[in-house]
Parts: sequence; C-alpha cells; structure tokens
Amino acid sequence: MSDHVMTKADIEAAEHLQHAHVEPKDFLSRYVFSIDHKYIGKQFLWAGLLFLLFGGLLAMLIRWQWAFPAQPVPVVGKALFPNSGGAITPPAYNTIFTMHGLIMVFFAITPLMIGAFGNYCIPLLIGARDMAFPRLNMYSFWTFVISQALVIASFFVELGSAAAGWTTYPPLSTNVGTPGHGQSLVVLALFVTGIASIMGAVNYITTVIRFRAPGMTWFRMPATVWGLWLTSILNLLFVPVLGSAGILLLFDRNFGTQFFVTGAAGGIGDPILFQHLFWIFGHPEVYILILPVWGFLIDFMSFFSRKPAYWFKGSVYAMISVSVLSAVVYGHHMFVSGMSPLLGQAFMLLTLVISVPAEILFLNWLHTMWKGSIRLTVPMLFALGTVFVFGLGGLTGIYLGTISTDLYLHDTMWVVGHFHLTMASAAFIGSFGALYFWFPKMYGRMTNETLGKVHFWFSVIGVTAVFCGQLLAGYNGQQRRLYDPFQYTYIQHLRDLNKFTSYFAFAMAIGQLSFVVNFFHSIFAGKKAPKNPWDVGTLEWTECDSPPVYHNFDKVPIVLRGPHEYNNPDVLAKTGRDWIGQTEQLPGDEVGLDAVAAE
Amino acid sequence: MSNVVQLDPRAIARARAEETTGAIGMMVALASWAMMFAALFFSFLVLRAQAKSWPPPGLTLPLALPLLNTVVMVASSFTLKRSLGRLRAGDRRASVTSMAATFALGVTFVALQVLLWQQLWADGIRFGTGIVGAVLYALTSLHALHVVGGIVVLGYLLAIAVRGGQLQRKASTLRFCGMYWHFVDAVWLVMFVGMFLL
Repeated sequence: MSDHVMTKADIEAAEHLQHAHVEPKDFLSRYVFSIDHKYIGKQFLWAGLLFLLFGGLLAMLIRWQWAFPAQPVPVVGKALFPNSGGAITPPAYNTIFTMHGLIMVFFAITPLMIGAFGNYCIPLLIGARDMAFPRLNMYSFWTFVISQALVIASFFVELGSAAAGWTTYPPLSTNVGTPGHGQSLVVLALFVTGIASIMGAVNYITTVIRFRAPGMTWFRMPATVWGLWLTSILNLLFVPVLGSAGILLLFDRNFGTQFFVTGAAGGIGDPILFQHLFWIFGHPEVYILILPVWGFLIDFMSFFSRKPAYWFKGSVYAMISVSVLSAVVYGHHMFVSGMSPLLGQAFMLLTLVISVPAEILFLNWLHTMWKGSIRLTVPMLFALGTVFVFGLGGLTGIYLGTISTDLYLHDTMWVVGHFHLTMASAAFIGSFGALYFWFPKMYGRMTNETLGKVHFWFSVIGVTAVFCGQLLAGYNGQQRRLYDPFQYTYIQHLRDLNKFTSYFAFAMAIGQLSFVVNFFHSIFAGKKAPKNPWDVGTLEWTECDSPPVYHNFDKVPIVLRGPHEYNNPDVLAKTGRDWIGQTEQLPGDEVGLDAVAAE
Repeated sequence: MSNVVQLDPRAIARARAEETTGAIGMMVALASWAMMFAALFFSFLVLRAQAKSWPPPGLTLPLALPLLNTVVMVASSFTLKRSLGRLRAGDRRASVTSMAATFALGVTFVALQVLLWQQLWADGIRFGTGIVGAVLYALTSLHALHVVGGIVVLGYLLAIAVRGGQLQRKASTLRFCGMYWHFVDAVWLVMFVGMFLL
C-alpha cells in the first residue's frame, strides 16, 4: 500500500472498470426493479421503516400487557383480540413478543442499517458509480420483500404466527410446541431474508475490494464504509449457519426428520444442537447490528467536532478485532444450557476480552470530541445519544459475560434491558442519526432541526428509561417473557416499576410522530439542500449534488487524503475553511498526478 | 481460432476487469456456501458423536453407489476444467464436447443419488428413522439440489453452443460455473468420507 504510486494508467483503468449506467426511462426498471444502488437503498429504507412501525406497535402491546396484564387493550384491542374482549390472550402474547423480536432484528434494523445505508453509502463514499453487481443488488431487495411477505402471511394462517421466542429454540419451535404453519412460514422467511442478506454482503464486500476510486486506500475510506464492510463479512459467514439451522428445523417440522426432537416427543435428535447453531450465528449477529453504527460514530464525532478522528487506525483495528472475536464467544449464551465449566471459562474470558477493543473505540470517540468545536446538529446529537446508550448496554453486558453473575441474571429482564440498549437502542438511534445526516443527500432537502431535536430527546430519554427499568426489574428477579409476571408473589412489588416503564415506552412511541412528520414534510416541502450542508470532506458531499446524478460521478474521483481533515492549519491558511475535500488539491500544491503517492 | 472476435483493446481490458470482479464475487459467495455446509456437517458430527452406534445396529450403509458417485463427481470436475481450458484456447468443438460430458456426468450423479435414496427407502429407512434417515436424506438432498443448480447453468451454456451463439463471450460464466462446480464436488467428497466411508 505504502509504495503504491498512482499513475495515469490506474486512473484510466478505474474509469473503464466503472462504466456509467444510462438512466432507464421505463417505469418498471426505474422505480420498481431499479438496479441503481441509491434507489435500492431508499427502497430498503422504506421497507425497514414500515416494519419498524410494525415491530414498534407489537412492542407497545407487550408493554401494555406488562403494565396491565390481561386487561383490554385500549383503542385497538377489540379489533385485534375479539374473542377475549380486547385482552391479549396467552397464545397471542407468545406470538407478539416472538414476532416483535424477529421483525425488529431481521426485518427492521437489518434493512434500515445495512440495506439502506450499505447500499446508499458504500459506492458514494468510496467513489464508485454503482455496486459491483447491480442486478444482484436488485434481486437482494426483492428477495427481502418476499421474506417480508412471508412474515405478513404467517399472521393469517391457522394458530397464527411464530410463537417460540425470537431464538426459536426447539422443542418449542418443533411441531410439538408450535404446531401451526405460522412457525414454518416464519422460519422460511428467516431463510429467505438470509439469502437477501448474503446477496447484499457479496455485493458490498466485492465493491469495496474492487471499486474504490484511485487513491482511496483502505485507511482513506470513511469509518462508515469500514463498519459496513466488516458487518458484511460477518453476515456472509454467519447468516448461512442460521440458514442451516432453519433448513434442519423445517425438515423436522415438515418431513418428520428428528434433528432437534428428543425426549418425551420421541426422537434421537438434540435440541441443544439448535442452540449451538443459533448462537454461532447469533453472537456475530449482535455485532453485525452494531458495527455500522460504530463506523457512523467514528465519522460523525470527527465531522461535528471539527477535528480529525482520534487514532483512526486504532478504531479500525478495534473494529476488526471485535469482528474476529465475535466469532468465538457464542458460548456465553449457553452457560446454563449444560456446558463444561472449563469451556465456559474459556468463553467467559474471550467475551470479556471484547471490552478492550470496545474501550479503545469509546476512548477514541471521547478523544475526538476533546477540545473540538462541537456542532450540536441533529446527527451529532443522535451520535452522542448512541454513545450513551451503548455505554450503558456495554457495561451491563459484563455481568452477563461473567458466569457467576450470569447464572442469576440469565433469562431475566436484565438480559432484555441489556440487549435492547445495545442492539436495539444503539442500533436504531445510531441509524436515525445516519438518516438525518444523509437525508439531504438522499432527497435533496434538509430535515427540520427542531423536530429532529424533539425526536432525539423523546428517543434517548425513552430508551434509557424503558430499558433501565427492565434492568431494574431483572435485577429484582423478574423473568423475561412472562405473560403475567405478577402471578408470582416475589415479583408483585415490581408492578409500579413495570407501569412506570410502560408509560415511558408509550411516551417514546408518541414522540416518534415527530420523526414521521419531519420525514414526510421534509421529503416534499423541506428546504432545498445545498451540495455540502455539513461542511465535510467525504466524496458524497464534495463530488455529488444533492441528490446525486444517476451515475454518481461524471468523472471517477481521484482521492488525495483521508476523510477526517478538519482544522488543519495549512488548509485554514490557504483556503480559509476548516475542512478540505478528499479530492481537493491545496492552492499552490498542484502536482502532476503521476507523482501523487497514494499514502 | 476463427471464433475469436476482434475487439477494441479497451473493451478487452474492461471485460478482463469485470471477469476478475466476478471471480472475486464468486469466491466471496462460495465462502458463504461453505459456512452453510460446514454448519450442516457440524450438526451431523454432533448427532453422530452422541449416537450409540453409526450406522445403527443391523443396518449396513450402501458403499458401492456412493463410491461410484464420487468417481462421477470427480470426473465431472476434470471435464469442466478441460472445457474452460479448451474454450480459452479457442478450441470450441473440444470445449463443447467436454461441457456436454460434464452435463451428462452431473445428470448421472443426480440419477445415482435418486437410486441411492430408493435403496435406502427399500431398506426401510424413513425421514424419521433415527439420525441415519435425517442425515442421509436431508443433507444429501441439499447437496443434490446444488448439483442441479450447476446443471442448469451448464444447460444454459450448452444451449448457447448448440444454437451457434458466441460461446467465447460466455467464458467467464463458464469459469464461475466451474468454481461453483468444484466447490460442490468438494462438499460431496467430505460427505462421502464422513457419512459412508468412515
């Protein structure tokens, strides 16, 4: 890398490798089966937001049940649960919490964070005209739509949708525990959405390897691209493991094999085997859902503190280490499933080692802000909120990674609070920050600052109160997933805590209306966005209009420096600006391109 | 060499670059597939390690058919490799012959596999018959499905050849198909050794 000198030939080669697509004119290939990464990104955005609403409403039903068990749900109760006078029945409750989890993880965060921003950002940020395989990209989106359709269909079959918990553990998820076709449809939906994820991952990985613009070395890539790229690698390698578990489960359910059936159900299989497969996928999955956000944070901290990202390489190496470690810690989900104590110790050690790179990331974010000229824009607020909730989530995770404390906390609301602070709150608040940041580029209009700030405070106070409430309940011994927790005398004193938590959840949900209003109003009537409203130097802002032309770049950009050049005294003296674009030559510094050493 | 079309050198350079991009994409995708089969194999090994005996007492697993199928599968990899080599050398006729041979070997593999399932069924093994039934039917049928996928691509290329189309332009497709085919071949070897031989 260090001895690579960019030549005219390199630049010409890049120009040929990435031919500009002509914008199609017919309706179908322009608005439905588009192969343009920007449009596919927006399609994923809409699909994800729609299912976020779906999953969010299911969450509200759960919160209602925990505050007022078995009482009629106001407004929608009579329509949803006509046979019980509007109250949530136990089977309906099982379906609600199961589908809340599955929808949020696979059909809301994944398309929003990876589908939308991966597609929209990766080519723009590395100076490519499109993905490596644009058609595969289109298939990826429509495969994803099929999986969403399967999820919706599962609600309409006899006995309803999946009800075995989001982890889908057998024997609950076999025909013994959930006999309806809904469970099969949902497992199939997971398999299909996995195929969509893998298609996307193949595209992202190959695009970053092959289509970086001349001069865009690995360490000149914005951290956002690093996060999305590492996430894609984890997706690529571990989603197929869930796929295999799903196939075997479908065989068990529909063809009578006995991979996971045993005991009283009469079989020779091993239900614990499913737990292994699920968590071999599942633990990388939680990092799949946070790595892109880490990338956003590294970039946003620098962009809005007007300082270079502190120890950028360290942050990148930290993300790489976490990606590697994430593959070898899954056993900490199974401390109480019957595990050799020695193996448990090894998993505990590896798990706790992850806090080292995570600390490096944290310190680098804080160092980047230290003595910076912080601009509290909406994306920056969301980034700061993400650091806060992720910090809470990370700290509470240590107690779950440690065997001695996990034995008590396992399967309590503590676990629920912990993983909602990390993979739910941090992932969503981080993604909303990214949405506010790239919205002007996507739609060519600015969002409303005030509404954005209202959205921020409702969201961040909301998630903190709700999930800290759950942590407290869990610490006091409340088991997760209970239909009516207060049937247990030892939980009865937590009734007020649960009500209080629910009120915060309802307030947070109402606060999301500020986002809905802002989103639609800005798309149609927002202030026209300038080319570079945030004064940052990455390619999508300096080289593209808002929104960019169909083929992104008229000429493939030639990158001269990294993405975080802020308040460089030299730049300040020569241009009067505190930032400089990645492709911009300083006045008086013009050199022949043949001599431009790329790092 | 009459089939080689004169192209402008920039177009050739672009085609080469696109082929490299495609090959990298194929390798990345195969890594994902490998993880899928690895997980299936992990499941098999866990179940087999827990079983009291493998195969269950009173049952001998067929060895002749799977062995024959292994020979068929390995041979098909060689013919496919030859097909690509001949196409690159501009020898269209030899390439198409080898491609047709690969196609035939692939079909033979699937046919023999069906025969194998019939034999197992006749021996009284059902889906629910212990791990033998689960593993032999589920895992081998998933593998056979992948072979069918390769056969479909080969059929598409053969159809182009039969119609006298520009096979040369599909050399990269043949190369990617080959990468996939060798991978599926390797998966079968692992299955054969792990399930039938040991």
